[in-house]
Amino acid sequence: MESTATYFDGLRPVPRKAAIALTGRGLSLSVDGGPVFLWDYASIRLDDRQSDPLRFHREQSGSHTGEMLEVAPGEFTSALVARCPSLRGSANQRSLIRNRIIGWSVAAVASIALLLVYGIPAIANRLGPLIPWSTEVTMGNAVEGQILQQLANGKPPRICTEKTETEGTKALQAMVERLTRHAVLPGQTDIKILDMAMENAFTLPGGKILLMRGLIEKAQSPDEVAGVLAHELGHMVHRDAMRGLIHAGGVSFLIGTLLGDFTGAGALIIGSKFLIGNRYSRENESEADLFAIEVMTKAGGDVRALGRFLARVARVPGERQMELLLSHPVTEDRINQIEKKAPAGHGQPILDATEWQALRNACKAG
Amino acid sequence: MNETIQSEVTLSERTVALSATTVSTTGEDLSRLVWRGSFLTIVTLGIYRFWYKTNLRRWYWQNTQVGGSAFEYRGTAKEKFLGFLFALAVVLPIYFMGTLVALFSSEAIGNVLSGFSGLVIALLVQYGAYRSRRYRLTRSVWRGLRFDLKGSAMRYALKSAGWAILTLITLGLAFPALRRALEEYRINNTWFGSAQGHFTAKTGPLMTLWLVLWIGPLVLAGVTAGLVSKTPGEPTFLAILFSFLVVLWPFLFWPWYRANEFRHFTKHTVIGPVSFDSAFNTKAYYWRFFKFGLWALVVLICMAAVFFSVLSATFASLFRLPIQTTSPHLIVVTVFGIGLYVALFYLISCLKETILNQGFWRLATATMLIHNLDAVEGILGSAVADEAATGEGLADALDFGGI
Repeated sequence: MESTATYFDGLRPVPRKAAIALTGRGLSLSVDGGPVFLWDYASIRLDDRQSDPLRFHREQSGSHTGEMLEVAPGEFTSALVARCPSLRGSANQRSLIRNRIIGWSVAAVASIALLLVYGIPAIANRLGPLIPWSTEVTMGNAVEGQILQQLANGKPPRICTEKTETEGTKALQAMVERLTRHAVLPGQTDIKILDMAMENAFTLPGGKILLMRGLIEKAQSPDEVAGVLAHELGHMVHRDAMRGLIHAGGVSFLIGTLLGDFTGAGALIIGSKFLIGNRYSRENESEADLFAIEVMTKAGGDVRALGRFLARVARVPGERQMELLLSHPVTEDRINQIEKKAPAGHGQPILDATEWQALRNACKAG
Repeated sequence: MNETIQSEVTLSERTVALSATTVSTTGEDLSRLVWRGSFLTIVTLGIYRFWYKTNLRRWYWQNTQVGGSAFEYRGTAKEKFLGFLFALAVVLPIYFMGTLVALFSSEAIGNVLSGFSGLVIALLVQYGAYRSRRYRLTRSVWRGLRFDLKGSAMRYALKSAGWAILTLITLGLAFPALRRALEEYRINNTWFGSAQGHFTAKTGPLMTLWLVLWIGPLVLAGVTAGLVSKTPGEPTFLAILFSFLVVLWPFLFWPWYRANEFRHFTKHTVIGPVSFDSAFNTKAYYWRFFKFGLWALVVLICMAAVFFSVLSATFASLFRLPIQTTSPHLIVVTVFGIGLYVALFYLISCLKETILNQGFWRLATATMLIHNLDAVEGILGSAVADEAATGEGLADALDFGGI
């Protein structure tokens, strides 16, 4: 079988006409009517089977000779391709590449796993406290308005403790003072009670703590509220807002690197951050509980009140199944931890009866 | 016989060259390759991107012909993938460890880091861009001879950082000089076989054009300020219009500047005995942007309509729930939102490749002229130099820019 082709010697960029033929010993070439030479079938390489013309290269003892043959695809090239045993490289070369890919894949997976479990949390834990407190306060001021709007579906909720002279505000101040007397805080606290039915409390960056009216109404003793407040102070002391932010940034960077610049990666980053970030935030919750236990013990209050409150508020059917997706850790684990670490006895209530009544009515009086 | 007329922003992925004698791009369309490749990239969580990118480059190289000979792209998806795995396994942990060590060694570094991280990232990006260009050039072959990019990626990155600082200090006035200096470094380090690139463009002719972009917003801002001070209180319609123009101005004139820059740079590029010329059409360039913008707008409007109609049904219940619980509504909306987001970017990226990138490539190649092409016969390649192009050194395979 015979055909014509364009031959390049790899030394000069000059196309030359070649007469080619399939022989028993290899592909025979005659360039510009010159002497015939042979390409051993096993030495012929073809990278791209779709291109037109097809480009055949030649390899000898593992390295490319620089020669190239351009042949229009057709019957001849089909016959040629059928005779060449190692178009994509010799069996040795190919298994070498395969092994490398397998080996490096294992190494890459291991490195990603280690970075997610140890690397990023270590950086976040270390870097978070290094960010100046004033930066965190600026951030807190920036996000507060947004968060309030989001929580209340567009209309910012009323702040019940805005006036300093009301009984409710004074009761809150008394509670905060008794809790923080024994704690070293990174800066000023800014604690507010919001007129919202939601049974929850938040810590924003910069020591801004928001207690909801619903939470105080649900509490059966001042120490339950104090326990929650101490827990939130734990977030503030541990700089969890900053740490969480750096952690999220690190995870985004890592996943972005993994997925490359492929479009729509952002959505997957959000989704996976949600899952990966949770393990980290569970650890933070547990640490904040430990802080609460310590503070409540020093203040002489009822340490177990926080556990009782969590048990009452956050028990939702089917919670176990959703463990991974919850933004808070499994409540039972937290309650067990509190039970185990709390000192014996019930302590003294953090607020007296009148103060407790004033705190409960904080949102009515205003 | 050329590979160098690459303009960074829109054509960085392409090798573009056409000859005065034979100007040819095939009539083939790459749409099928793009729609299929992007889809597979998404469903394989990005793994397929190495194969997609390789196929894309093969297509562009294959369909660019100079003097009757098409370019050949000899990069393989496997080596790109291997380079990526290597970066994950070795480079990434080193990067993280470095950060950690720095954090433990000094308390003050937290403050310093936030100030300089932008600069470090910019350096890495430029370093990666140069490495990536080298990867592409060493795998570009024309008539059996390969291209090469010498020089140092680190020096290039430092050079670009220096120019960036100067541009910042001059409030952007030095920008054309930055572009010229970087293009000069790239071209002067470009080789085709034994022929070296040589760049002779001057900043002057571009400076006049740049001033239009630079002074325009300043004048408009002044006019706006004047209008506002004249009628205090409610801003007038004219004031709003002018302040809008301040922002819009650079975007409106950027393609015009880029088209001129492309022609200017092309005219002043030489590789060995061969020189180039370009009659790049500014109007056609604008038309491509316009067409892409129109399509993108249609896609966006359709997507937004679907999203908001679904969201409004579940929205009301979203924020009333206690934060501890995750409602089924929230999950449904989140999943739906993510799905829509992926679909949106799939469509936009396909449109970008088929309308913008392919369009620019056609525009640039169709209007390019190559002088003295016959003289390429005097250029020599060496079989030894070719070794590196197919060699298996991991350093060569590291295509940072592609990650």
